[in-house]
Amino acid sequence: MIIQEDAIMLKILEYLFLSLDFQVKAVESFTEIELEDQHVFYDVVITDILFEAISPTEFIINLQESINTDNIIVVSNMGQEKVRKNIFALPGVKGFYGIPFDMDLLKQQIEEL
Amino acid sequence: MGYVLRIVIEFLFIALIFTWFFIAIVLYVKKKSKKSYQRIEKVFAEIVGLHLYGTGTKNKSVKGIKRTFLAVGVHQGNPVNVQTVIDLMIRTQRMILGKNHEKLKLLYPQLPPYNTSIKKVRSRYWYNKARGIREIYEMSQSQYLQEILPYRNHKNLYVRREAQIALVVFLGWKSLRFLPYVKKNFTLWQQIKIVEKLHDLYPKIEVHFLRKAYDVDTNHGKELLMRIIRKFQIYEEVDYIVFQLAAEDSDVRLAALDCLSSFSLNLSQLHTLKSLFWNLKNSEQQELAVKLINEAEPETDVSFYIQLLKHPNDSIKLNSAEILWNNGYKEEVEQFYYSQYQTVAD
Repeated sequence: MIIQEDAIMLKILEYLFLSLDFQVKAVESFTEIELEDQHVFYDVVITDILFEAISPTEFIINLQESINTDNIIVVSNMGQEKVRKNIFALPGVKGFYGIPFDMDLLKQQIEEL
Repeated sequence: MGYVLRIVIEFLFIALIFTWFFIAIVLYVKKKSKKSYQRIEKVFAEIVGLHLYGTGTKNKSVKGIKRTFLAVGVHQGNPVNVQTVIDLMIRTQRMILGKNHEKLKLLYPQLPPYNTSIKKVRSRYWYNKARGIREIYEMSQSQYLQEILPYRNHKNLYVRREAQIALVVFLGWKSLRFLPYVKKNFTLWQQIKIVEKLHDLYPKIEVHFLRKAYDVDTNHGKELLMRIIRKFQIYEEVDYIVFQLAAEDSDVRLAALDCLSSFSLNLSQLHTLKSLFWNLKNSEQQELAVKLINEAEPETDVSFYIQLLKHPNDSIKLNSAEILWNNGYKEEVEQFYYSQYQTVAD
């Protein structure tokens, strides 16, 4: 599962996962997630944290309530140290990448999971 | 009377209808352009994604890419769409570091911006020139380097700035040897941008190129070199910063002090700093220097601080008194202040 508002980043990440033989569901925002998605278990969820009308931590908590997963990795434009700390304090968050970043690191982390 | 009023009302009514009409047209055009933007974005995302992580068979040829772009209306006759692609390219390039950054560099020369950027550089107007140069270095079209090179001494600040950043992007540390030939000044913003680009794209330090640039005699050039030394934490070159404290220009001295605060100084550097202390004519700078000296020295230099107690600036006076006091030289401080009382009493 990939949630990214930026279409280009979304597509690149989608292809990254396809190349690693994952089945991918890529959506642009949280609202696009459908009911049946909630019954699937996702190996990894890559998500942005910058959305309208919701704070980053709240968003992650909401996400965890509605989606079955153990691994959440954040890829976001919002890379400040404070936000990063808050997000990492939540359980289940395995990584935080502030744009710009090196995708090889992300790839490596996913392969190690 | 009623007749005039009617004409006025009619006129206003017609104006209102025209306004509505206008708004409708604007909305329609905006919607259409947004749609075409999204279409181009989608196509572009597809191409970049395939290029970076595509599996062999699905990879598109250059001709295929051109055809898909043509299908969404990116061609020479439509400069707005071409500009959209260029903006997307720059945006993507900025999101990604590491190996994929290099991979994108391979892709971009194959995409068709139809020489738009270099045409902008050849334009008569400075804003077009600057924008063109920026697009060229952001998209790493290094084939135009020779053409950009002469603009580093252009009379317009922005053209000059972009050209110098382009030099750094294409040549890295090697570009520093051009620095002594840059006679016109450049802004703080530009220095920061150059240092950042150097740090992002060429993380490996090449000190010999840095040393070649030491001949530079402009103030801004010196500041730039000091900022580079600080950003890369090049300890061997700290001496260069220390000697800049002797500079005539107050900004250079300030930058030097600023940069020195990120290093811990050794004894000979400390000695030079102390000997140059009275060269800092500005008391704010002297205050910074006192802080630096205090942090760097292994033992408190009592005579130096006692000398400072007589400084005309109150803040420096207090600082040095505090340093003396905290390091166990209470008597010296007391003696100094009591002696003042005596002279008043006399």
